[in-house]
Amino acid sequence: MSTFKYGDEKITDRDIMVAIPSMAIAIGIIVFPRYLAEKTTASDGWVAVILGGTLAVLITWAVAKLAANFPNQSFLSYSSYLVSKPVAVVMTLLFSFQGILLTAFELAAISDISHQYLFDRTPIEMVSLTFLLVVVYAVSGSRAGLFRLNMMFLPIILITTGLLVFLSIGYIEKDNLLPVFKTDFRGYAQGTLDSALSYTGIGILFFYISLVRHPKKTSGMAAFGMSWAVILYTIIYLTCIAVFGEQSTANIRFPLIELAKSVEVPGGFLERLESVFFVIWIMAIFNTTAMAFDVAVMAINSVFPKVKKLNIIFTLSPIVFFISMIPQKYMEIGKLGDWVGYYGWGMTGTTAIVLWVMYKVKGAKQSGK
Amino acid sequence: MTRGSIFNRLKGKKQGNTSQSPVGKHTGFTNQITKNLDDNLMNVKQMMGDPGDLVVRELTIGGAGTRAAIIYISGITDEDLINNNILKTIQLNKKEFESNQLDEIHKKVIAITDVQKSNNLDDVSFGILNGNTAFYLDGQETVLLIGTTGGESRSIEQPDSETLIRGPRDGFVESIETNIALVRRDIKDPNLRFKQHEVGKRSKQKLVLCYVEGIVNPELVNEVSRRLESIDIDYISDSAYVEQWIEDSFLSPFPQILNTERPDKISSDLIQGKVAIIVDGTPFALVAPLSIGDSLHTMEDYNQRWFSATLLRLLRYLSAFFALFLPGLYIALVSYHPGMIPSTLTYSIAATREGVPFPAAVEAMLMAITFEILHEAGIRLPKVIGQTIGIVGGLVIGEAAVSAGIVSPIMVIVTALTAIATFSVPSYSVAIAFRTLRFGFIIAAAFLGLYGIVIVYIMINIHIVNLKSMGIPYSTPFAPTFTNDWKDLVLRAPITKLTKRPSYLKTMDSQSKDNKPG
Amino acid sequence: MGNNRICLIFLFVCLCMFLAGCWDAIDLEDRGFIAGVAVDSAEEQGAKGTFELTNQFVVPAGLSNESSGGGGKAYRNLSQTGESLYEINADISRQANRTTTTEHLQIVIIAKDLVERSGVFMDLIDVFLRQQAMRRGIVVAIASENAKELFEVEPEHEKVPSKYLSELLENPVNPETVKPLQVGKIQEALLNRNSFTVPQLSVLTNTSANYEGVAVLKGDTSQLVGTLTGEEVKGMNFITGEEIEGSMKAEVDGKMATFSILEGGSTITLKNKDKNNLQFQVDIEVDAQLAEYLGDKDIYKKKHLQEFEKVMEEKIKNIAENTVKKVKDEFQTDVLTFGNHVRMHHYELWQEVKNDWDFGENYFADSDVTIQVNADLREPGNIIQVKKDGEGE
Repeated sequence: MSTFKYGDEKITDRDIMVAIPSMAIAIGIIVFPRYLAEKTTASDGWVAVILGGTLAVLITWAVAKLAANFPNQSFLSYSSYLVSKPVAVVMTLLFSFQGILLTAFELAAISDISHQYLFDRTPIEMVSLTFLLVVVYAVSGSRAGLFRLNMMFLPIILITTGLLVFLSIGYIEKDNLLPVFKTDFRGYAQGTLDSALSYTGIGILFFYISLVRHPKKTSGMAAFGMSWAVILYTIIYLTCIAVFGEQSTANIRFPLIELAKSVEVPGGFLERLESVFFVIWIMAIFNTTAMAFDVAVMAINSVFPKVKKLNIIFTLSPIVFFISMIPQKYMEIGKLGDWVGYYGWGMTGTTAIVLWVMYKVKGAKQSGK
Repeated sequence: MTRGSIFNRLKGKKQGNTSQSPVGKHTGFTNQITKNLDDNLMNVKQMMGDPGDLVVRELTIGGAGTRAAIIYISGITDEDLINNNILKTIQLNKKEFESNQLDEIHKKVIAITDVQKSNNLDDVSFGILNGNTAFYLDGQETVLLIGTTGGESRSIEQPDSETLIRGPRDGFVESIETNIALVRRDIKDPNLRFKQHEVGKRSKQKLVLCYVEGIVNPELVNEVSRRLESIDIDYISDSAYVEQWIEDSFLSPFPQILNTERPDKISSDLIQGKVAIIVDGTPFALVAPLSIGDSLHTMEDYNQRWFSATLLRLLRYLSAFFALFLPGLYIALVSYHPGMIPSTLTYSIAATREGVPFPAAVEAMLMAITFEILHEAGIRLPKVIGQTIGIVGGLVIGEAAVSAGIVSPIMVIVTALTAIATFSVPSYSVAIAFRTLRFGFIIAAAFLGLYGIVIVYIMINIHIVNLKSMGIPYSTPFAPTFTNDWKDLVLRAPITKLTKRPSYLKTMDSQSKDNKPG
Repeated sequence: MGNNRICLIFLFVCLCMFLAGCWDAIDLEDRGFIAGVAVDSAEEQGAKGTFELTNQFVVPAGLSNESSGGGGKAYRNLSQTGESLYEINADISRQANRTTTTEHLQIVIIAKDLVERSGVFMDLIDVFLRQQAMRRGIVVAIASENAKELFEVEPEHEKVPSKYLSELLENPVNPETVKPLQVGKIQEALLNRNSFTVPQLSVLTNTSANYEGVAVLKGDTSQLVGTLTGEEVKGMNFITGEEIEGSMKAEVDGKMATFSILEGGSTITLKNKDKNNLQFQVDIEVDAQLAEYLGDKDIYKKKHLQEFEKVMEEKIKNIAENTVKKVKDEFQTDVLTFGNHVRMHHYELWQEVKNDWDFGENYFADSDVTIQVNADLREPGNIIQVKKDGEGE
């Protein structure tokens, strides 16, 4: 008979399905059209978005599948089984470091962008500190709560972004979309790489799948969730190109926000919606940041199980804050972003490959049990 | 009938712990019933402090003239019943009794269904305080407690706090028996359970936990019972005491248990698989668990056709949005993001604000507090003077403050719209939560504009997802997601489609339609 | 309950921080809203490359019809000279008692003599694009003489001249005007080195301004090369297929007939791929209605109908060819979207020519344009009446 098993920290497939796009939609969505438009011709970037997306979906699937083979086991425990304990500990710590870096990057980026669009004189520390405190508040709550937050915010984000695209229809010039398929191979390759970098945080699956009670179908759900992000990215890219044209998109710092700036709501209640859209994307960025931080905490906690979760949080948050304050100029923030992206993909990719290989080697024994 | 069954249970429970009952600390008397009538009467009087409303009527029985007495408290008893069905029948009875007089009287003379025996003074005095009549017979160590509860009570009226255009007109009253009867009348299911509890160490108030067995999740009942048993308090003036004692988080601004005066609300929630708590002495019953999705629903939603009900619900969501965000948004737009307001509107707002000496945040705070004061004063004022509040509030605060240049007209509009929106939130306790949070948004907007608003919004969401009502996440059915329950959330699907019970309640019997007993 | 303690600590920290104050809060009434910016050359007063910037501030009190501050002017023009617009703006804010805000900037007007210099327009527009506070929808216009003077035009029904001017640019449906030009579009054009047109305004009387025509700016230098007026603009619209709707006058057998064009469009096709002599063909499709006719031909007869259509086609072709001549041969500047067509449909060819399209080698000037018109007269109107009122002139 069904019972009230809400109190525990277990989650369902659906939570993972929602968490993946929540994680993937972050700062990247605001800037990626620029990078992509630099590399590709006219509207061709969508091919790169989809290629990069397919790559991301595949890796998501692979990671989820791997983790799902060890139901209810933490990353540390199954990777210890596969690649021996010390290696597993190092891997876990590296993931934790990635979480910290990602949190710091999102923090730095959000304070930078809010300075562009919302504030002039408010100290940057103030903006990021408030944000960090909210993240800390979220992470110190229950882990299941984080997934519920995803579920609460993701629809809002998808709806408002959809609304933005819908409102932009009036501004679309189809001339901007032509010609098609004129990009050379190099452009596609670079574009694919760039757009793949925007799909951050597949690594969380290594950790979160252990919370899923019945992870049988989780890999499919996770891949499906990632494909939402891919679709959203594609639509946004095409809209940006169609409204601004390739050249302008490549020269606008935050194309998505600029898109919000261009549209006007019919009826004239509000003009200039970029602030509204931006604060709603803050929710998306918040979700990413909170999960990244949570994974960092979770990873460290699995290595040091005796330390209380709250203590880890309060130790890590000053570090995160400090790292986020290091990059001063927008170039440095962009660099940090690239770095975090490469690191994340490198980490996730390598780990996935290594663990899969080891699983193929050792796996029979496991399933024989 | 209802009363009888309740009392039987109460009695049964009481008898179980008669012997070790923690007795009065009065000295000079025992809590045992003696054979001597005079002693017994003295004991009762002494235990209660011989109050003026304690009626002791001595009489003799039959030809032999055995002494007897009936004791009751006037005011909480039905004196007609005592006169006609006890006193009269005893006096008219001239027959001699056989060996066991008390049994004979019980069986043949007293014309009242609810009669119990007791030989413990605590029980007797408790019974008397509950409105029963005690019948003492000289030479007997057993006392008859005759159910004569009655006295003045409010008749069933339409509840003031939750009025509907369409729907049943009855509301709960202070008497728990009546309230239980009202629910019973709605749900004629033998599985409807009323689990008796007693709260108030001194007040000894009755409290029943209602649920429908076979629908409700037993774990929910266990959890609520466990919490009810933990209540340790002398007296509760309203079910609010119970609510505050058993709620999950007392730091939360949100009510985690719903209160209602409407029997139809209770009944429909019981059928959904929730539990209700009815407390003696208050018309407000409690329903648990409560989730954020329920907080904007009214019974009216189900009494109108689905299309209009859905639109009304959307309207209510919109007004909840206004009630929460409007003043905050006003401040954010006026002080931080003037670019978002259309140019023409910007200039006219700027023109009206030209003479206002305060920044928008102070102005909004001023008006919001003024409104809260008006609201509070309006409740305290006698109904006759009540209208003055409208005049004072509308004219003085609105007109005069604007023409004196203290606030801008647009701020008055914002405040008024917020106020009206607040009143369209159906539940008073939810509306209070919104009013409180509104100030949070005002402050956040004053410091960080829209960014502040979204930060506070995220914080509230974090709080909500971590909040639970009776162990059930408060944020359901949004998250954890139960898409089935979305049919009756923001929208209200046609009644014919609402055949499933809310899945977040994890009911034993999910189908609402074939609700067969057993 | 550990959660709640965190909540409290959090609140406490927040409150402590907030004690520091609200940095960015500036109330509406403390802001000076710039509704329009005019840029003039200030060379007679100072060194080369200096501008005179005039900001038009809105005075909200002057806008409200009733009560207190009414009656006064609803705007205030402040001017300063200098080299950088941003810096001049900062100078102006020293004159204003309020924090200047550009978030409601609606119109930028630049004097013609500035734009006639190479590259100046580009430099001037830069600041309006770079600043995040400004919207992409700011409309840009060129003043034939002094830009500042346009801000003194006080129409009877509108209290702020900038608003009047921007509405003037945005609203008229007239085949002799073009769509309002927004800074966002300028950015696209400049980045692609596309030539573009800017509406040109002039002061007509004290109370009204006039939409004179459109100025043609070269894409690579953003230099003004000439102005199209009247029918030349109409011709441009016929070729680009935008804003075609409006009236057109022609003569049928010596009798005046006015057509009202209901809808239309154009298709450009490239006939060959010889970059030194590109052959473009423009097909113009027009649906029209006879709005006014001073003759007595029975238009229900097919013969006459064809005659009318023929006249229209001739007339349109004539107008379009005149425009092509002026734009291609005289200005040698492609504002007729031929380059865009090549980019969209012949991308490889575009790669070859794009760096010498209407500058340098100027392949555009070497190209040939043929024009074909197909006009349909859809609504002949009631012929019993010799004269019928219509929307035309």
